Amino acid sequence: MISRFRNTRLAAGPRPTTGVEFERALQITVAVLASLGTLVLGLGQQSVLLPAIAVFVAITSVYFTDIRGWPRLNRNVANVAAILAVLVSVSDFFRLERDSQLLAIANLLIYLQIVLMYQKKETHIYWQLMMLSLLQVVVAAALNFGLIFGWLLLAYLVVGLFALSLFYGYRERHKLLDLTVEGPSPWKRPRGRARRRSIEIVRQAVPAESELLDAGTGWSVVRQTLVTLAIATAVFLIVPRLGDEAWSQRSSRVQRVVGFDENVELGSLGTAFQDPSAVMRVCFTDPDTERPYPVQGEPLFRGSVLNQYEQGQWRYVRRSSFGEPLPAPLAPADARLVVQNVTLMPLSHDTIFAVAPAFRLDADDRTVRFNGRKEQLMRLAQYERSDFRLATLGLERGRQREITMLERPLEGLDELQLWQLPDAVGEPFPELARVARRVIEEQGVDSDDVLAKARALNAYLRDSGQFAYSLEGVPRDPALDPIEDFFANNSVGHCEYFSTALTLMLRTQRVPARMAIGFKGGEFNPVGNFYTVRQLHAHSWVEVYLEPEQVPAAVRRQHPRTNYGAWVTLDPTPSGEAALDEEVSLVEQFQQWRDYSEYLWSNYVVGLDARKQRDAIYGPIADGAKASAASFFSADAWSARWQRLRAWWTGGPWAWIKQNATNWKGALAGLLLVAALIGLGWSGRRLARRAAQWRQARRNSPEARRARTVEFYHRLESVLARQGIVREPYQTQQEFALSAGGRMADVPQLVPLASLPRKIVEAFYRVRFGGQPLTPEEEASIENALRQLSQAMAYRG
Amino acid sequence: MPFDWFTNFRPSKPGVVRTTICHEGWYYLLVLAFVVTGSVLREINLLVVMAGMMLGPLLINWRHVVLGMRGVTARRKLPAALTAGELIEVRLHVRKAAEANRRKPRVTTALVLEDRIEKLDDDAEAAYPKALIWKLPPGEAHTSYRVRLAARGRYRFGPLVASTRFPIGLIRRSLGVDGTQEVVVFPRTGHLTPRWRQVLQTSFRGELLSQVRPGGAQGEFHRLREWRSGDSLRWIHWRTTARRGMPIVREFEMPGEPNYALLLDLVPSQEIAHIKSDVIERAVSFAATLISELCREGGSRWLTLACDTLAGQSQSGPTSRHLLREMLEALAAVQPHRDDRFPALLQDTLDRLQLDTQVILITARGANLAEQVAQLAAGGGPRQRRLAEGALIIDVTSAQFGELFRMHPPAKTAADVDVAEVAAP
Repeated sequence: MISRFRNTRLAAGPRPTTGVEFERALQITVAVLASLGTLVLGLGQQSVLLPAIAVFVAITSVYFTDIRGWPRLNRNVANVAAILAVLVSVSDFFRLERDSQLLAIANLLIYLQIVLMYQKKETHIYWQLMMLSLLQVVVAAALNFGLIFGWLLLAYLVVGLFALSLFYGYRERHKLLDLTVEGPSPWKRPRGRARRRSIEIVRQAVPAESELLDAGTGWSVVRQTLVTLAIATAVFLIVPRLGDEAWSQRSSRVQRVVGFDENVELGSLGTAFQDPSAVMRVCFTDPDTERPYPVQGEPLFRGSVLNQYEQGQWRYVRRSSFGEPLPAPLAPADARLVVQNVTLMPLSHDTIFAVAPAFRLDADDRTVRFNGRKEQLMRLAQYERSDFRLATLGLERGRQREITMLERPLEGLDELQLWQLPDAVGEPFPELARVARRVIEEQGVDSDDVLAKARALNAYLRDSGQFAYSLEGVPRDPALDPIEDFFANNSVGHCEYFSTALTLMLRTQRVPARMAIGFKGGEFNPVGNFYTVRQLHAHSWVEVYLEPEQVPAAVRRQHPRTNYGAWVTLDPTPSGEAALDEEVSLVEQFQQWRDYSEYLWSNYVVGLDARKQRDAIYGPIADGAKASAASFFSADAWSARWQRLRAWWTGGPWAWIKQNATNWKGALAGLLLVAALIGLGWSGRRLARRAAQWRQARRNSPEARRARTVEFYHRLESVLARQGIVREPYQTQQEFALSAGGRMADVPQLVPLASLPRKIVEAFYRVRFGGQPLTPEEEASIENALRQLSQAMAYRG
Repeated sequence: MPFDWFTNFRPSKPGVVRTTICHEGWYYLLVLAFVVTGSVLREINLLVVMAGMMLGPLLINWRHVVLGMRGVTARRKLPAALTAGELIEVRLHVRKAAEANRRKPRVTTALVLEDRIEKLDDDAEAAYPKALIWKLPPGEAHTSYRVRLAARGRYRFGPLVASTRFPIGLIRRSLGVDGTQEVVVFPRTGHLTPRWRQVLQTSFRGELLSQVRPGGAQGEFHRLREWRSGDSLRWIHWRTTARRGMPIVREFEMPGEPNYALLLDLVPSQEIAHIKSDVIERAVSFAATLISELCREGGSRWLTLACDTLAGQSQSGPTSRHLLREMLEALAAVQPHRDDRFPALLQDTLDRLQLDTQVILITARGANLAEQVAQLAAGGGPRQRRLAEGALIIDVTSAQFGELFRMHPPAKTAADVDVAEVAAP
């Protein structure tokens, strides 16, 4: 029954939009899309002005140009404005440096967008606006690598798909309303003077605009968004990366490392700035299991060392040139290592911070350099975000080792200046030295036991309670060295005071020591199992050198491979904060998730390179496939599977059935089982029916029927071939039939059958070339003829 | 245009399916290619993400158009008679088959039915009228479009193509749903004034003329002739038919209404540049109007139409709807001949006419034909002379012609396109 379609829609659906509302929705959506594109681009350029202008233009153009109808740039003015924009951008392009030329292109896109926004919106203007906006996002993708770009991209996708859907409906409708379009192409219009037309289209069927936009449009956009995201994810993961280094942004916001410098200066006033900027992320993994490696306490990420102290300042002084840095040492093959994946942000220093001693894992990795004297790792590209996969021997059973054995002999011990003290007429630090001697005496430490002396002094500074940790600056006596003042007058200070104090105390006692600088701890993210290390985690501590014979026997037994001496890591800084609150607040949870998202984004989206792709995607897939294949063809694996199944059945379901066979649980389970079996059977039946339908359709296809019916001709040829009547290459089937009939007519017994080949070939022609299948009667007749021929040929033979 | 071929390749016959990338799709692909190139050359992962996100809508669009066109069929229904200058409503019946094993029926969205109209005897561009159905659930629906075919002649409609680009218009799936259909558009007709009737009556000799017509029982037997379309089966002379092996009918001479012979004299094509463009159409329209009037009046008169570009030069028969259609179809195709064949046509026609026939000579050349007709008649027999003397010559270029005939004004243009009615289940 035919009914009025529009009326039924009006009755059943939600209140439809009017035509004005539909076009307004399109105008607003395109304006939002354009603003989003500019916003993304503005973030890439780190400009606030551009997004602000874009939003202003979007709002004013929708209100004044689209709603009020003024001001509207006419085409000529718009063209002039566009040409001006191009000229300005071209001038910028040649004026700017190569790295900044992309910005000139980006600005051109924005200028053109502004010009278009103030024009009367027609189909091609909408389309150009959307394309410009898309190009802006494409350019922004080369400028902006933050997680915020990802979120904005998602928003852009939703708005973009919605805008495309609206634009599609608008264009389809207006294309049909425009009766001046002659050809099938909406872009093709009559040229020159309109010629007299013998065919005039007067009216084309067009739906009302109210039909174009309903709730279904929104759902459709949501579905499209989800599918697009899935496709984008698949494409992103599958597309092979060719290089080992993903493009990373050369950041113009390189962070200055606050707590890490070649020169440490004591005695400055004021409160140390607690900079929360992230310096790096570190993730520890067990190389055997590839699972996260839990670390107890706060790991020390060593950067560099300082060896010379003069008047409150630490520096690294070398007496001879180091020469060129070497590739970092390779991890020893037979040691129990822990892998540390370090992601360093762009910094003002090329030092790599990691738990010492650190090694490179990949023999081909030339990106990590090594300064042997300072035992410092360095990267090549300090202004780019970099990822390093290193190993360390500094962790054991989840704790950082106090004593780490040297993997090779320490060269030039004098060069290291581990005993350096400022030149002075007398004792350079009388109070400090006095305290050191007193502590050692009070502790009763053997004067030859270097390790015991170091531990005693460390414990004194850290645990005696006479020294306090504070980030606030303390007034010092200018007549005294700051560290002397720390001992004599004001025993409050930050980590550098404590590490300086211990280093100098040890040196006064002829114990070789140096100050190590780097970061301590960081924020552990339990979601992603990584540490986020910020500037405020900068720290300094002390490294004490042990001669080979001074290394405790227990440590030597644990590391029998080498005995070139060892470094003792001592951290004399007392804890300045109360114990951490175990309860994690909602805000902290949110921050953890945000950090984890940023970690994933920077590591697996922005920083996905060939190696990571191989390790994270291709490798596991290939390994899984190999393992599955091996398991599938392994008799042992099947046997083990059977054993597990039996154990599960006898231990679980069977026991449960025996226990619950007579109560309501058993009845319910039985019912569910029956329902599942019925469902399974129904599904199987349905599948079987569909398969049968498919087979039937294939069997009844014209090709199949033709092939089936023409088969009788081949039988004719094979029957005749028994008597040597074979079709020559130059013969058509009909010529062959006539020839065969003639030869048969020469044989008296076959004369009655001489006409049969021609009859069969005529049927063949009809089927093969006429496309007309045989009727069942004709098929029977052909069968009969073939049978007669076959019998006659057999008799004759 | 090659680009059009890529973007809008129309299926040429029913059942042919084409999936093409639209103009917008090509621009989109261009940007996508730029993104892919950038991502490959510079190893920028965010451009790979962008490429994936741009690929998604393309694939979604492709999937939607493929599913949307499943089970869609349509056919065109043209009016029975098409007249030049009139508004023609072409109805399109669409059907969407329900898919088996699918609980929720799949609705085809934004289905565009695009027809093609081409004038066969002209080099004018074809027109592509369209109809848009926004939602087409399984079942039947109908819609229409309106066109005006300004010129008489032969036209070809089709193939009718259904297509959709839903949901974002980057990819189009087109399906030929109905084949071509050739139609004849009759000449535009007009209005014969009372003055014309006066002229006709006064020019007529007023004698009660005998009329030859087939099969009549009242009259005297005249002759046997071949059966023509429109003759009744009752007029067939069966014995002669059997002997000759072809249908033969009897003609009787009987008293009745006057017969008419219309001779259409169009300008030779060499001279066509010297006259106004619509003169020929005026002559043809006048002839078509006259024939329509005579056929509608009915009666038992005999009507002959002669023109040098007609196939066989003349058609004649008893007035009927069928004869009307035949003559209008003939008039739809007449065109000026290269040579001036009017004298031969007149001679030949007069030879074949009965004495009781009123000859109406319609000329578009603007010259006085009376002398030429008289000279020709003088060279013929008495019958020809008599017919020629009584001939009524209508010069469509003369100022007086407007007193005899007025063209119907063109049908009102429905340029204010209103929302089409779409009927669906």
